[in-house]
Amino acid sequence: MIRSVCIVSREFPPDTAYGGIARLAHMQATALARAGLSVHVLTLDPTGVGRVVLEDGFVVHRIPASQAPVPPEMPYVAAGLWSTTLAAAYRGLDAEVGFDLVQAQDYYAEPLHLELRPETPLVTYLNAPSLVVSEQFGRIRTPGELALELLEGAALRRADLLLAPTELVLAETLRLHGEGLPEAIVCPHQVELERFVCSDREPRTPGAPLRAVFIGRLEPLKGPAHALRTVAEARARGTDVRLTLVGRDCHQPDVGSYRRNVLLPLMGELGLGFEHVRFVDQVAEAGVVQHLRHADVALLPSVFENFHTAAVEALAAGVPVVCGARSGLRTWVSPEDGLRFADTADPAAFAREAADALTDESWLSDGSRRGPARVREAFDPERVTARQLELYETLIAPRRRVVAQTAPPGPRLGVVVLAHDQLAYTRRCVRSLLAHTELPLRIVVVDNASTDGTPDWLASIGDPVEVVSLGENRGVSGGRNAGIAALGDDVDLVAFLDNDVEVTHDWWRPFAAVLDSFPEVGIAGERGVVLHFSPTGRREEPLVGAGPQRCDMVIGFCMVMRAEAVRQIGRFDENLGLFWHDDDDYGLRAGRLGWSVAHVGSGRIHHFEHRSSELVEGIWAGKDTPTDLSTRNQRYLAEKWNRLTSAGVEGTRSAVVLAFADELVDDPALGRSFAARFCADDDVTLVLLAVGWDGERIEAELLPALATAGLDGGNSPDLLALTPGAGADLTAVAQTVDAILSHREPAGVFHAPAHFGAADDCLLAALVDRRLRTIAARIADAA
Amino acid sequence: MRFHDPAVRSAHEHLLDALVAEMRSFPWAEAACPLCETATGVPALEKWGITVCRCETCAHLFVSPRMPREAVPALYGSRYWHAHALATGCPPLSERVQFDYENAQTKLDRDVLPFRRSGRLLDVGASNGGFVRRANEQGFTAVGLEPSAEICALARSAHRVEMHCGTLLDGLFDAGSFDVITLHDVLEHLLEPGDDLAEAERLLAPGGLLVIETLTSSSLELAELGADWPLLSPLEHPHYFSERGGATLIERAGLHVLDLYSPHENNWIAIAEKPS
Repeated sequence: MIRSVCIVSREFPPDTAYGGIARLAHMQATALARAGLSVHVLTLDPTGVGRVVLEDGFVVHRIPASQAPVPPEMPYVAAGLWSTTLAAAYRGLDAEVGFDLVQAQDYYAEPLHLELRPETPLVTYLNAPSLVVSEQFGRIRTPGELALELLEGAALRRADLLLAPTELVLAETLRLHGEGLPEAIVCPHQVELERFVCSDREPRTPGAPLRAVFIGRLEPLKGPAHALRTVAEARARGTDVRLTLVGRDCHQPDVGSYRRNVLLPLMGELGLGFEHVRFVDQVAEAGVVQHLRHADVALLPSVFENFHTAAVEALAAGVPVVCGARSGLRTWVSPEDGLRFADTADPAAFAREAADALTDESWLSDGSRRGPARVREAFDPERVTARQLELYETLIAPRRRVVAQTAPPGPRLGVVVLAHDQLAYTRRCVRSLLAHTELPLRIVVVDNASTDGTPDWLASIGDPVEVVSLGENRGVSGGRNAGIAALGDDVDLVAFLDNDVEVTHDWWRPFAAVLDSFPEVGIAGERGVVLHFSPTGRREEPLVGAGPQRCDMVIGFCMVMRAEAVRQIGRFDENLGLFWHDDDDYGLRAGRLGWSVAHVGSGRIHHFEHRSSELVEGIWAGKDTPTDLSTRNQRYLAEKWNRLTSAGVEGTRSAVVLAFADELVDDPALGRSFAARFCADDDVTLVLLAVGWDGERIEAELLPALATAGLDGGNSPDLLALTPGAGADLTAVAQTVDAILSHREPAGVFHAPAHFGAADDCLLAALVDRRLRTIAARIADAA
Repeated sequence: MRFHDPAVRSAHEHLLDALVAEMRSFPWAEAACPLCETATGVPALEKWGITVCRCETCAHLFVSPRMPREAVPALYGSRYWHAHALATGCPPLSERVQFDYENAQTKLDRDVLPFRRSGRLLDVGASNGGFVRRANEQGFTAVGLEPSAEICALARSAHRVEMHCGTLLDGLFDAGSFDVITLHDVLEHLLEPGDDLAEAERLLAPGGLLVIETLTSSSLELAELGADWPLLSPLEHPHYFSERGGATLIERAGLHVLDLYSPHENNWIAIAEKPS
């Protein structure tokens, strides 16, 4: 099945013009996303900055265009520059996403330089290639414009399939661009028309003037002058018509304002006054709907239209349309359904024919009734998208089979997605997982008591997505614990993702590769952090770039762990409440058990950051400012980890097992665990930190404890007791440990110093085994 | 900055009562349609106890009965710019000094600069003087006209512009004194707008430009909302002209309409020229 599509379109709302290609591209993106595809749009950022925007269901990547000055007589250079800019952006995005298909527009030769993988087909929509448009209007082109038309032809030939929304544009493109074009099929656009349905239309009062509306730019190609002539003609026949022209005035070469210098004088010639004609400058979509609600007929006499969106919208609103004869909509809507055609070549003839329509009461009334049903059926987004995907499937199915045959078997992956509201993000996250995980996959979405429609949506998905619904928001730790419980034992890897994450092509592979290559790594995360603890608090040193790199913890939005490590580390600490530092705790606990933590930096994970936490009271005090909950959790963890982290021995990477003298005294089982596992032959030093102890106390308390544990005999591991004063610089202590041990070969790779309670005995066994194996392996390597 | 904010309006609507009562202390009288002159209107809408009539002949909307001309200075004092503004959901004048100054550039770019780039400019109903200052900065020699002495003083102090206290009908300027006269959101406030436009024509030099922006009675929002149309404010607005009514008024004053359109649903703008 097709799972991901990249739409390339220089024009895309809202930053580019309202109308035409921009709106159609938006409709396509919306429809494909609603069909469950992962959709990315590559488009221009007119501000020249570049940014990524998440719309409801798809991602828009706005890329800045080349700033190189281009002479206006060389439009083909501007097109070429844009096409190469687009190709570079596509290359990067495709490396992440691995698109199944690229959908382009015919405009501006955009796909000319796209580097498409053999398995990725290109489909180009024929909206109106410049050559076709120019020929329709009989425009005399400059050499530069002719060159651009040739470029557009070359770009069309790169496609694997051309989709034409109307027969008119298909026929004209084949006629004018000639040989060598790929297969071309007529398939309509999907148009969301609900907003245009006017169930509350203002009916025409009997005897009142007929209300006509023109919607479009005030320029010759859209035919506003034809609309004025039609009104004059109808009035001459005794039909009182009022016309509102809704649209922006366009300046024309050698003419200037088309309204002021052409249309107003024409009104004078035709005997029309402001009681017959009203001009309303460009209005937003709601304004268009309002004007349609108050109209009895639409006059849209464009010289040429491929897919005439304004006419489709008018018909949807129950307003019959008189349009130019060269309208592609003819493929889909007949005069009986409310769309009449009149040749625009002779303005007076158009006016006569259109006036016939305006005076045909039965056509007006039938069209108003039948038009909405016809266009909603013809352009129904769901139906059209199904047809479109059927066509796309025929392109990609053979390629997909090849990929499936060559894909190696992978580990069994369980994913825990934590969700709290923000359905749009959750949807993206889950869809991206489904689209980009070619592995035996289980997804457990833990719904932390969402109230925004998330439960309904989750309930609708089904296999392989399992849903755990929590009656209350149990926070990050509680949610992940519920996910762990639901996953059970039949997975090899566990990935924890936040719902504001979107994964891309083969996202899991870099994480699995790190875990596969480094047996000591238990947690691999997208973004790792080295933690520095000091008496004044906690400081993060984020790692950047591609990994793997060792670190203390990985940020919780994307953590991939060995299932074995999860079993050993256990549950996330729910004492931390809703949020903050759960991932610190888990990373440090992993280190305590001898697991290394690795920063991966794959670049395949998009993280929109804090989308759910921003909705929950008590997590953020302001933008980028945590509430006191963060401070509270840091204090709690500092207390919990005091002896391991505040000692300042972080970063010590040696075969050292660190224990605390007072703990050894308090807990005899701990000492016995050491004695049972380590002996003199092990390349291990047991460093005992006796902070603030004096010799007398060591003699009175520590030595008896060691004796009780059996750590005082000739077979016991090396012991090193350090007795810094209570106010000692613990970093210096760590340096002392390093210095003492530095004469040894680095035999161990333990990062966090270990410390055990009696209850941890079974974990200790695993740890010791792991450590000794690692030590042995290192020694063997060194030999 | 929000105008006609329903929340602000509902919180302050009670302020209107005192203002309406005070204006009622002047003798209100029946009015005739200014376009048809003799025709009277039939009641079409009512708001705050004030009746808006529709002319039986030309459908022009106007308030009748209405306050006399001598009441105007009492209406346009500082209370108008504060209490009345809030009661109609608008920010008080003191809060919009900077906004009006910045917004003036849009108006100049749209309405004036495509036709004239310099000369003597009179801004009628200049309020806090933001437009006058912008016009000066763009190369015009601009002055403002405003009926309230208090607001004139505010404009002088806020923008250091030349302000004249009064209305067009006060005869403060000589014939042919200006190359451009602008009336942004003014026409709907005038009791006898035909007289004001005739005076504007007198003040314009031959070839001079008149710019009018006003509410339109063609608004579909008015058609749908009736008296609930937030812009229907009959204490301050005795007239609601259609585009046709506006064109008629301008041409009657001896000016030639160059352009007339709605920049958005609720207003129209006319650009007119005095024949050379």
